Amino acid sequence: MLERLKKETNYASDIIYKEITIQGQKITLVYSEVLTSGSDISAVVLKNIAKIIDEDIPLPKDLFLFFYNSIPSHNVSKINDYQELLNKLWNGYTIFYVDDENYFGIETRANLDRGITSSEEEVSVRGPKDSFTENFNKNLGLIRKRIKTKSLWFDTLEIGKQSATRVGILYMENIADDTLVLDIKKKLQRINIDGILDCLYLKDYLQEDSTIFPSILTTEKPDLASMALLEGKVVILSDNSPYALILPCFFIDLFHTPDDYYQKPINISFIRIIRLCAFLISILIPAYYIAITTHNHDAITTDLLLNFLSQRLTVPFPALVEALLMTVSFEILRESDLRMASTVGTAVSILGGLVLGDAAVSAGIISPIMIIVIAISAISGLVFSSIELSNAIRYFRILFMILASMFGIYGIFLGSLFLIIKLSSMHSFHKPYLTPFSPLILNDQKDAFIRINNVKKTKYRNPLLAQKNKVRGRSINEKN
Amino acid sequence: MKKTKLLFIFTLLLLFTGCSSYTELNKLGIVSLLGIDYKDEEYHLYINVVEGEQDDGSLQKEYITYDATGESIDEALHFLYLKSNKKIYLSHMDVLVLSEDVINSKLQEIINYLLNHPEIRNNFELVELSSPMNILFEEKIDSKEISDLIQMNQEYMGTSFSVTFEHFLEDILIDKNSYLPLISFDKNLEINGISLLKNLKILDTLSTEETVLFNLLQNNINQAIYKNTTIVKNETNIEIKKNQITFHLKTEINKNSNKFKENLQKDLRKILIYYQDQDYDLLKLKYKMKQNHLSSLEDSNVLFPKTSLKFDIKISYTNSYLERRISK
Repeated sequence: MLERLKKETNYASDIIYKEITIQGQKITLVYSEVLTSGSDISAVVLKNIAKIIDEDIPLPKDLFLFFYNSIPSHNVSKINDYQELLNKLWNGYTIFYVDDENYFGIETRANLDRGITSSEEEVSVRGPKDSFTENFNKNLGLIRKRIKTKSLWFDTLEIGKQSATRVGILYMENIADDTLVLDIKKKLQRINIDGILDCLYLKDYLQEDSTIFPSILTTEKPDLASMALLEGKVVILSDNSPYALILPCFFIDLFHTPDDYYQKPINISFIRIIRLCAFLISILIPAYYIAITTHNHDAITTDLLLNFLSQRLTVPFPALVEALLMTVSFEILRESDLRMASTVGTAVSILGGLVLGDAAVSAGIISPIMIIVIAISAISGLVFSSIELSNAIRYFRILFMILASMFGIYGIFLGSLFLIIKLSSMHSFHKPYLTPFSPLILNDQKDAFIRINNVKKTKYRNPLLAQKNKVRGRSINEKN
Repeated sequence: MKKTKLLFIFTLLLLFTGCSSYTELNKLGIVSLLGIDYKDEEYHLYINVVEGEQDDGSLQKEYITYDATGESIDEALHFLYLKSNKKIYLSHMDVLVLSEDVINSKLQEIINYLLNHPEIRNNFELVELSSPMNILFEEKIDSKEISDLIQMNQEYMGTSFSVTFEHFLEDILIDKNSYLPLISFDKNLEINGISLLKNLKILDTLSTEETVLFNLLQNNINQAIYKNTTIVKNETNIEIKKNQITFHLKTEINKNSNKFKENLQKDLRKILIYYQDQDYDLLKLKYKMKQNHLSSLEDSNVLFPKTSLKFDIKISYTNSYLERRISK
């Protein structure tokens, strides 16, 4: 078997075959030196063998059974076939090989992950700062330590023909809808792919509508994942991914953050309204500017129109081209700022800001008002922690700009109609995307665009999600 | 199939480009002030096209004046186009200045033209100019100067009365009578009271002093000076009964004058009876009578000249604390 292993791995140098002879009997330890912890192997396996040799403890004939029972490790497991041996080997186990019939694995996994750090994408002002890491167990632990109940169930799957990545489906057994869980499992089981390098790979397979609006929420915050579980949603974790997928995801979820529940509701209501305004401003402002400077000149006051006119006198491009130029420049600047090392990134920002801000205006290529319009629009689009939503806003912004340049405010109206129809027709795992507005769920309005400071008023979960138990509190306390 | 549909819609959208009212901002000649005169059976059109220029970051308004004549407004406008390198855009017109001649001879045609023009809005102000129009436009007066002059005089002196095209139309629809603020220009703009229109012709003119009385009755005054006395506050209620109309005035003045009440009552009665005798409904009282269900409009036409007018004026005097101390 060992020969087969050597052959099939092309005598990989990182796989160590350590032969030890004890009292005339030969055993082989097989492990990957990059995936295992040397100190663990020494402490758990070699130290134990050395003690037997030093103290000359008589060994029974059945070495397998003796070591299987006496190795002081929390995870010693029997291996039944060659395929399982390979699995264990790639998962950082040390294979204790006696002969082709008798071998077992000892977990000596090396810690190849970074520690638990604070979230970089979803910055939290108040509330827990920890975020998921690339380690599946750690991620699971971060959720388990928040929801200490037997009702938190999780099923694991291995996805990826080559990567054999562990994927976990977490849900509250006493809250989540069974059909939703079953549907997700079926979809995951059907995935046929070489490798899953991040759980975001799964999104393409799970998403139902081919839309640019996100129907699956991505988070790196365990508190948000736990919150979603308590709402009756399903969370998917995968090995090597610092993100969790939350499904289903509704449009209103993109306007909420975990921080919303750690601060005064009145402040949060204000912030949520600001987010809604930012969403509308980000999509509509450039389009509105184009509309009033090309079609609907009568929609603003004379003084404001004169102001715009004076700024556009030397600009050689039509308003749409000017707006597209600025939008593309901003996107290039943002992308370069993201990809550059932080030390160079600042220089790029300054250069980009100067070039776009001052030089372009002085050269008469862009009007100052256009810079203001695109800057307001771009900043408003960055209010949201969901990158997918920011991207969706970007596409719709451009669509609205084109429509406004063709039909003016009427075009904006057409675009808005299209946006509303698109959002209303979307579903996330057979649940309407615009819930709780369409279908109207009155109780959920108290935690939609405003938050009401009354625990009793927000006592009920969304009935579309928590069909088993709609009352908050009761399910967890009484059913357990 | 879906892709074909999308491609079709997108192509359609592209084909539509240019078919709509697309005009870049720099191609617009924004008209802020329009003047219409009628002489020798020809319309004389004057426009002030406003252009903005950024000077040290602040907006500076520049004006270009064009004038043209034609047998109709459209023809005159056609000749204006021949002189302008930009699209003449009338949507942002603030003030329309009309001469006495054009009001007396072509007001109906002008109203029809303004109502049917696709760009022109109804919220611009109407003004009658008593001096020659070409002088006003040669000086490149800002439309804002005219409208501010009228509004300030109405609000703080009671000597003028601002009329937007919308209000003018409302008045015309009631009984074909309306008012226009009257201004003149000789080196400076000057308020000359208001013109009274009957059947779309100028009937008479109220002097600035008479305009104060008119505004007083219309409850339109914040502050005014009348016969050397400052009116600090005024509230007018008109009580309409079938055969009697009573004017309740609560007026606060800043000077202890015994004669003020008498003079005011005498002047108010004089002006109202004068126009009542001429069957000119200065305060739209016929309409108010009809609104109060006292009569139909036809009945009120009969009733109005015979209705007796009564005045109930309460004058209060505001003296300051210091003034009281000094007088003691």
